[in-house]
Amino acid sequence: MPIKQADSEALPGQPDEAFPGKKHGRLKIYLGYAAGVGKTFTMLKDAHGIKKDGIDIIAGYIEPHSRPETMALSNELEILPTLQISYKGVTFREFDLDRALERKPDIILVDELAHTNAEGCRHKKRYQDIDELLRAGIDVFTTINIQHIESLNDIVASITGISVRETIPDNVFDSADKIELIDIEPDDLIDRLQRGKIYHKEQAKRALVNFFKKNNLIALREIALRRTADQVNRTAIQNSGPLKDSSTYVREHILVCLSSAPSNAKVIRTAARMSSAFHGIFTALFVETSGTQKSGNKNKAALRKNTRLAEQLGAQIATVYGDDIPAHIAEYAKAGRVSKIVMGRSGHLQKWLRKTNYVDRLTSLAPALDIYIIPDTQSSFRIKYPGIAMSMKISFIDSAKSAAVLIFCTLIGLWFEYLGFSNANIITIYILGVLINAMITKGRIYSVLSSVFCVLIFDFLFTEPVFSFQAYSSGYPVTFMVMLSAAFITGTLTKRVKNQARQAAQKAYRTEVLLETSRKLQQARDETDILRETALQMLKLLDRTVIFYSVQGNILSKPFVFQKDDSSDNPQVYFGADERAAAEWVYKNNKKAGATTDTFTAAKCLYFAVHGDDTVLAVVGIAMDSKFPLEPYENNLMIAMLGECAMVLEKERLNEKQKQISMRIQQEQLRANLLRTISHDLRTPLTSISGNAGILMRNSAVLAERQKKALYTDIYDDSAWLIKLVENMLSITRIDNDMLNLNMQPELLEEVIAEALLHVSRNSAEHNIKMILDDELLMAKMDYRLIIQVLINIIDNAIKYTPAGSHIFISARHEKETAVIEVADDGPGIPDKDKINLFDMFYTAGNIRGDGRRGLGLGLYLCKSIVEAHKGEIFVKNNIPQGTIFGFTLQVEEVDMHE
Amino acid sequence: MNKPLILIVEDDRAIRKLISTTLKTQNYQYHTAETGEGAILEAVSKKPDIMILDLGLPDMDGVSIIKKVRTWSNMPIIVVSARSEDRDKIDALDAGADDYLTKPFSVDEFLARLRVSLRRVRYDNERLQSDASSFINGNLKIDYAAGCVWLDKEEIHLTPIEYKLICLLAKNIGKVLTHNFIINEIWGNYANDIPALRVFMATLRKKIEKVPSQQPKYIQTHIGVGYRMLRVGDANSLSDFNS
Repeated sequence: MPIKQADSEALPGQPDEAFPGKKHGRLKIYLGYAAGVGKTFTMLKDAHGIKKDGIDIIAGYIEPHSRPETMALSNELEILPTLQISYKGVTFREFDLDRALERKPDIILVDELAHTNAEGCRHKKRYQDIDELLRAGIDVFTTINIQHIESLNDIVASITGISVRETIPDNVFDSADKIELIDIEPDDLIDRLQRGKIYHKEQAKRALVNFFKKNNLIALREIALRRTADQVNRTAIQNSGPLKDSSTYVREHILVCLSSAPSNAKVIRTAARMSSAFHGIFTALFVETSGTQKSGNKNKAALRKNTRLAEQLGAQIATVYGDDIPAHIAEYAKAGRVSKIVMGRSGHLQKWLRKTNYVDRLTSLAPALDIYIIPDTQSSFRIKYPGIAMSMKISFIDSAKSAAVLIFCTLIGLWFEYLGFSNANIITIYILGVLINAMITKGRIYSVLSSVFCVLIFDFLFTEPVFSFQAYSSGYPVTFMVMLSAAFITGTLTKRVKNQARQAAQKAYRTEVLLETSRKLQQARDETDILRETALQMLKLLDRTVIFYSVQGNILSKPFVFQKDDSSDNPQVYFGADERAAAEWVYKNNKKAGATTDTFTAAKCLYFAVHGDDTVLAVVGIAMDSKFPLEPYENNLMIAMLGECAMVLEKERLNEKQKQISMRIQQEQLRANLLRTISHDLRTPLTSISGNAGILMRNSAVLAERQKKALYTDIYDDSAWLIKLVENMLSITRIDNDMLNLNMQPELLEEVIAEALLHVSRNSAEHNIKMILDDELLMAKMDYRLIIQVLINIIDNAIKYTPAGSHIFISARHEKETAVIEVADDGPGIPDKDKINLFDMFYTAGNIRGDGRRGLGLGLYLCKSIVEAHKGEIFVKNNIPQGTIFGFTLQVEEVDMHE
Repeated sequence: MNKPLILIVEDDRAIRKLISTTLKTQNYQYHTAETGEGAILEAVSKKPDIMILDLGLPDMDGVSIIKKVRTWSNMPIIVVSARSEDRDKIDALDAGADDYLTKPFSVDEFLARLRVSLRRVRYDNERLQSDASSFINGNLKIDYAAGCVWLDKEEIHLTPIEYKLICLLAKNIGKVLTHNFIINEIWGNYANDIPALRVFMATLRKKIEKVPSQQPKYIQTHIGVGYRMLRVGDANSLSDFNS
């Protein structure tokens, strides 16, 4: 009988409080304690009820069952076609995430939450698919069995003896909005199984022996009930609110230490359960020692697996560096206000050697801490400690070095003996040798071995009887012991100093890289610059090809690829649709994806989002040539760099926005000024037009034909003037709106000048206007309407300011990369003092403003703005022998002709 | 052809009155329509010789009116518009309009354009009757059969592309051809090669015009839009009004 927590029909359509702006989907999980309890059946039945209410609910993926009732139920729903993926000759049917996102129903049913997707799907795990559905605002119903929950994995394994591979992180389960436990009596379940309702007869028999034993089922049921109750509790606490927000409330902080040991997984799970029971903060700490870098790939892989497990169980991962593990744990615990530490009890070998020391030291270093020790039952034997395993490895060069040092010491010793020095001198020489040895070799084994060897050699060569390992004098054993321990301690100390120096150097390098990045980013001028600097720094740090996508108006730009020097790859491989899809996904979801992650695993690069407070500013990809993720050290450094990059980017955007605002203010002022002047200038011709028309209408009978003609001409002239004004105003709006919006096209200057000449003032008939072109095919890049406007204004000016009969020459010529267009007249010329202000707004020659209306004073200012928008120059100079030349430059366009 | 019948489609009363008064002074016959619906109705029932069409009508997009009319009639359509963007003109021309006028326009200019278009109608009719193996416009003669072009009884040498250009313009004499239309006809694709077209046109013009830049006799440039071949005699009337 299903236990319902709440009315499931009330699920969709409710306003979502957590995401007021953006609707986040809700997750409902049908939880069973074993296969066959009827999860899918109940889910489908619920779906039917909801469908009757007219809600858009579809079946995204239902496991194909042989149970006829279930199949019958699913057939009545709209079923999303599955994705067929063939991998190594086998075709898999998988849930089609993209189709579901496109179909976008209100609710979607997706069976088997813990399923692992076939190779080639976007995500490795189905719960990631579901997470994406939820983020897209689609409600999801799904099913799971209790043994698939990560933190219960080993408990279930210990009960049933069967460990399950496919698990889901606890937080997925805990974040569900509704959990419905499908509960039936174990007896009924066994009965069902026997009737062949769950598996075929043959399978059923096997299942009865293995898994479906009654006490197994009872235990599983109990776990399921308890877990559900826990979840209800948690929801209740979260909903009650104050706990979550109160900063004064002291929460439990549980710390677990990560290691590469296989038993570590169990410790992590226990800690996770504990933290959820206490509703505390959960941190997993890894102490990186000098041995970590040297440990083999196997150990690194195990460590990564454990790290990921901790992450999945909701832990924050922290890494500290240093060799003194307990001291660092204690330090971190104090700084992080850790209340409880969970540790594994290690095997017998370690008991006296190290780990008990850890616990003891930890207790003394942090007496306020609760320490929980979890027994290691999983394996009775222990893998060799990686540190020792590594230092056991004997390198030929280091051995040779040690031998050389020892031989040299022996030679000096023999010489000292020949000189008749006492043995004490020789001992000192050997201790010095051990010290040097520790300095020049890697690995502690050499210090240890050379300590032992030097005692042996000393015994062999310098004590009576010579050439034997015996010593007559009773004092010698003491001497040997002292010598050995002195050598040993010296060696160890030197090694430690060396390691510390190395760590300090690493830390210094890290600081230096970050500082340099920060300094370079500060100097970057714009967004592309910032991204380029970051990419170059990353390239330097990681020595891998780096790809950057910047974000422009909510879409990703084309990627920039920064290849490492020795790379022979074709950069095209990073431009593929798959790579882009991964980057897009990262942009939309603000999570990492690509190679070495669980999402878009097939991608060549690992993609990170460069994110500011709430938006993704850019996406960066790192080409991964192997399956191994980045070293934690590199990873941390890179994250820090990306953080820096995001900060600078955000600052840059803010600056840009401010610049735009101030520019807009300036433009507004300009426009206001213009409007004021223009409205003034409009009044005059309008008065003249309406006045003249009025006279003509009323007095047409009394006016002489000649007078009438004069009035008509005035009206016509004034309206022509108005038309010109309107054209100028249109040009102004065109360049003001957006400088980048110029419609730049290559145009023949000849055509443009001819067109401009068609539009110049009617008075041009009184002037001699001529066009002189060196090259009739000269082309320049321009927005032709604006350039025609420039020409009209300049030519009109020339006509206006020169007496009738003057000559006006319009010429265009090619000068290097530019076309120079000049309008020369032989009029009276312009005094030098006026030339300076000529291109200012509202400046008119003679500077007489008012109703004399000699022009708007806008013409040349407009010309200047237009030419500058074309990245050209406008100028005025004296004509020889007299007159003025106005001119401007444009960029020449070369044309390919293919006939 | 006796007195041509003109259909004025314009929703603004003042402009409609201006155009109709102008036509009356020239003794043209005309009908008016204020909406797109009305325009199509009049065009079907009255069978005008030419249509003056305002693009900004209240009920219908001007371009779609052109397209509709073109389904049954080849009458010249002169577009009048206050929109000064090239795009609008090009769209209208590509839809089948013959010419365009941007407001504000002068009455003289309007009449000149009207005459050019009316002459096209006449030419089309003549051509239907006579053989079309050659083309004569003023001193310019194209012999289609021989593939030669003559100017003032002197053969001029054209490159293949120039010859194609002049034939295309001649066949559509009086009509404004857009850049894209020409490129598509000559090169057969929509590759954006307008600069090259301009250069070809300039060289062609240099060969057939006496003073290319000042007073185009045969080929008129509509900058930003396209080109048109004019009947000799039209050119003078067209260039008068501005200066």
